[in-house]
Amino acid sequence: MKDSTPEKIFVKHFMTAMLVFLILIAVQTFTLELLNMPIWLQVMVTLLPVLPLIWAFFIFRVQYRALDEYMKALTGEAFLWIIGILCFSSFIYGMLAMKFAMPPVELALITPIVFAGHGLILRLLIWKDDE
Amino acid sequence: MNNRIKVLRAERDWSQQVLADRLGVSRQAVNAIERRKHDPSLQLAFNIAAQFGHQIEDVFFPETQSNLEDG
Repeated sequence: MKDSTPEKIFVKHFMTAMLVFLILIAVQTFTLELLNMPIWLQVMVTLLPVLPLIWAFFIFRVQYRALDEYMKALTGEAFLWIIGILCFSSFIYGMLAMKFAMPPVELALITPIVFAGHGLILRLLIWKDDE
Repeated sequence: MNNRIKVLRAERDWSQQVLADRLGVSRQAVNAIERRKHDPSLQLAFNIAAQFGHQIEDVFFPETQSNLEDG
C-alpha cells in the first residue's frame, strides 16, 4: 500500500481508537474495583471498551472502500483466511469438547485475534505476490 | 491476461511507484498486474493504456495470443 495521506489518516484514526480502547479498559478495571455500583451500571461500564472497537470497525470500513481493486481483493482474501481459520478452530475445539475435557477459551480474545490475524495474513499475501 | 506494462514503463523510465501514482492505485497493484497475478478491471486497463498513450489492445492481450507470438 502506498504511503498516501488517506493511509496516514487511517492509521491515525485507528491508533486513536485503540488508545481510547486501552483508556476505557483502565477506566473499566478501576471503576469496577473501586466503586460500588448497581449491576446495570457495572454492565454498562464493563461493555464501555466495545465502543472504540465498533468505531475501529467503521474506520476500517472507510479505509476498505478507499482501497484500489487489487488491495480490496487481497483484503477480502485475508478475511476469508482468518474466518476459515476461526471457523475450523472453533469447530475442532467444539468437536473435541464434546468428547474430552478441554481447557476454557477466553472469547474476548477472538476480536483481537481476528484484527491481528487479518493484518498478518494480508501482509503475507502482499509479500507472496510481491516477491 | 498478458501485458506489456514492464516494457512500456522501461521505455519511459517510470518506476512501478510512478505509474501507480499516476493511476491512483498502490504500487503492489501495478506489480501484481505487471506480473499477471491480478487481471485489472476494464476501467483500470483503459487507464493504464491511456497513461502510455496506447489503445488497450496494444497493452493487454490474451495468453493464447502471447503463446502464438512466442511459438
